[in-house]
Amino acid sequence: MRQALHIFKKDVRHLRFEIAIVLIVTAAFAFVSARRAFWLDDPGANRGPAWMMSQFLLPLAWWILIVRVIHAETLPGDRQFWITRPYEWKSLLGAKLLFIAAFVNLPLLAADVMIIGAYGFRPWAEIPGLLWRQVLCSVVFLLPVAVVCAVTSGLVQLLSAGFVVFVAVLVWSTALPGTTPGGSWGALDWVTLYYAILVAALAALPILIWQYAARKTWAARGVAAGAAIVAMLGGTLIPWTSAFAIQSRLSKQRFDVLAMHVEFDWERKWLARARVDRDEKQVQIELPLLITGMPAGMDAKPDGLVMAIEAPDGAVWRTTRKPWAQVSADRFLSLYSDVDAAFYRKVKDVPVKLRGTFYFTVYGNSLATNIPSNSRYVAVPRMGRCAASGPTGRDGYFLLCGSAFRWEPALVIARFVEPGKHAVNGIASHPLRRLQPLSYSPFPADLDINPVSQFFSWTTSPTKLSEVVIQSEEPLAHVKREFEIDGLRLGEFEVKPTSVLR
Amino acid sequence: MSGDVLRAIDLGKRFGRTMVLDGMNMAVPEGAIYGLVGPNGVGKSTTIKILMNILQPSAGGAEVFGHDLRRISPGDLTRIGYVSENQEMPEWMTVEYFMNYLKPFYPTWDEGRADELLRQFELPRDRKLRHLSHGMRMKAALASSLAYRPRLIVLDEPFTGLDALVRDELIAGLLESADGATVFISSHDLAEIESFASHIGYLDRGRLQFSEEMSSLTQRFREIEITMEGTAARVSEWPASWLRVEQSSTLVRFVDAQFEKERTMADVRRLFGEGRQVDVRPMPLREIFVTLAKAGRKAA
Repeated sequence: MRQALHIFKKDVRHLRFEIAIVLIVTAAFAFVSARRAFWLDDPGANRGPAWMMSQFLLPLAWWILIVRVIHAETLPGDRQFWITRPYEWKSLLGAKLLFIAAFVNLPLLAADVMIIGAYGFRPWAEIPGLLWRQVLCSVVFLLPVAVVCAVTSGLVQLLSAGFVVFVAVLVWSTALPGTTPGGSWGALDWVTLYYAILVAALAALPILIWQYAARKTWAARGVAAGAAIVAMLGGTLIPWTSAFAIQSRLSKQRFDVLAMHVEFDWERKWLARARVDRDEKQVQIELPLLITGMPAGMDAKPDGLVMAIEAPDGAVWRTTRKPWAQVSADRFLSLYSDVDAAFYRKVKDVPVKLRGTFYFTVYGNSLATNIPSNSRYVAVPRMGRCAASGPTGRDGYFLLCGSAFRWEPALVIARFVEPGKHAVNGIASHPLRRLQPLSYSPFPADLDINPVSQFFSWTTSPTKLSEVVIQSEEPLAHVKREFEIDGLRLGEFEVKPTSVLR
Repeated sequence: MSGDVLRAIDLGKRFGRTMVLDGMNMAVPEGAIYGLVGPNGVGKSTTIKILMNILQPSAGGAEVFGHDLRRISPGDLTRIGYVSENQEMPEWMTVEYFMNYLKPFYPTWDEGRADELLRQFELPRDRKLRHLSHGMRMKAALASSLAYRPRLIVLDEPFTGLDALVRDELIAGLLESADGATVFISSHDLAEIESFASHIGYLDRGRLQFSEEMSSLTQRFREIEITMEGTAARVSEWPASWLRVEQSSTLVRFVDAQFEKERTMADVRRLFGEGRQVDVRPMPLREIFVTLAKAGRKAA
């Protein structure tokens, strides 16, 4: 420990200018981000470019500091003075980690406390989020950079490694578009993200320890490259349905879902469509489904769908592109799927069987919170803290909400309300804003440079609006239901392509 | 052998397809000043880097203070001083900060001696290492490696690129401060090594050609010139220890690598009979190595 502190002190002295830069950038980031909390009082507080720049500069400053401190005792090579001195590898690694903790993690923690404090969050109530954010930032932004530094001997090698990674990602995303992980599963994207984070965490720290202990640079480079490939490629190999299964397992079913079923809505059969593309290569099938057995006061949100069409002769069409579904406000479910036109023509006049699995999330436990206009931040369940102002300027009414470290996975509707009118009364309500749940992640913080996610909404009204009502529903269960529709003749629903006027 | 500070046992090192060291066996007794010499690029620095556990051997092994070098610990390194001509130093440190920084790593660090070394080498304490000349940097490296009274001092080509004055200062400083420590030094500067080495090893094309005490080496190498009274007989096969044999009608000149007066004279009598003048001259180290290098190339 004494040796680690000795090396740490040397690094502090050596890198005092770099440390100063990180502290200044962190302070600027904290100031600019905290000022955004007062946006409603002072429109100038939302200094967009300064905020954007601070979010970009902060990790850049971290990375420069990490590069400098790790390369102060370069690991690859045979000419460094320190390798023939009685350095304990544990002390050296400890000194470097202590340095990163002291000048990256700790200032970030202080900045987070300051930023969430500006919105009125109490730091001690947000300790899980504060700590988890430190874990995420360390695993995603700091440790991988430390590993790359530990297996490179200088800036040239480091930049070469960065260039190789950049080219690899570019080639991959160009050659295999659509296979980059995440980005298409909506609230379930966190599964692939956390898979990559888990791989990074499981690989980065052992590689770092191994490299400091043994200095087997080429082997460590190989393992690091392998881990990067596993992290990126593995995410694309996780089936969407597995992600949903993980989600279901991690979430408590908050009510009995056994009574819920999905079936074809025969009463609304007239809504069914089979739309033939103009080039007649694809046919889009739209079918009305019905969710039965859902308790009153609950809403369903579709997450995904897997479907196959079986012809009487045994021919089967399986959806190659992900089919999708949507639920209307009155709970009617529509299923959409593209079918190959050749298969469609073959089966359109015979009764076919549709088999599918529908994945959806049920929301309920509605809560409403009233926020008077011109109020300071107040706590809003499932939303964080919100402030409202208005009228300002040309009768503008504003709502600003901040959520510490992540949004809760709630469906939220915000409505600006006239005095004396009921919030949920459609006539009295002014433009509403609906937030889709951003993530079903069970962890207390999301991966983001900024510790507070902001939601902003505004409206204008010729009449005076007195308050904002924020209504939210929380996810109660993630449900998977199989369905089967027998005896459909798809040709009955055919809609010819409309000609386009030129 | 007990009492050996450094030992190499069938040590081998290969870089790709190139064999740099091949079956090296060597022992450096305690208190010796061992010079590892040989032409450039024959594996001297590789040997030292393996002995310092900077590089891993491809074959064989080595011991330092009786420990397998692969298990060399920071504790062992507190007893070893290492200086290399191409060592990367913490350029941003001043000489004084460098010394102060290293001090806590060594339980035996002698502050008085460190001051003395800085004075002796005339090192400017407040100057950054990056602003020192090559010679001054070598002095700083040596001072920082002598201040804790190491029991083994390893020097890799320390005199390369130094002017004569700095070289003398370094050697003087080393000898004054060695204080009974074992010194292992690699160099292709034979004249310098000759002046203070007690043991010598000759490395050529990855193989240690010999490793012995300096006194025995200089004893066994002699340049011999035989002047005939008549025409010398043509000899079809020379004794194996005779190197660089040159013969004219009345003169034969060679280097005997295993000189023993009686045996050498007996060989001369056997080949050339009586009635000749024999001049026997001791050889400087430099000439011995030139002879060996030429013989080695010829054999290759």
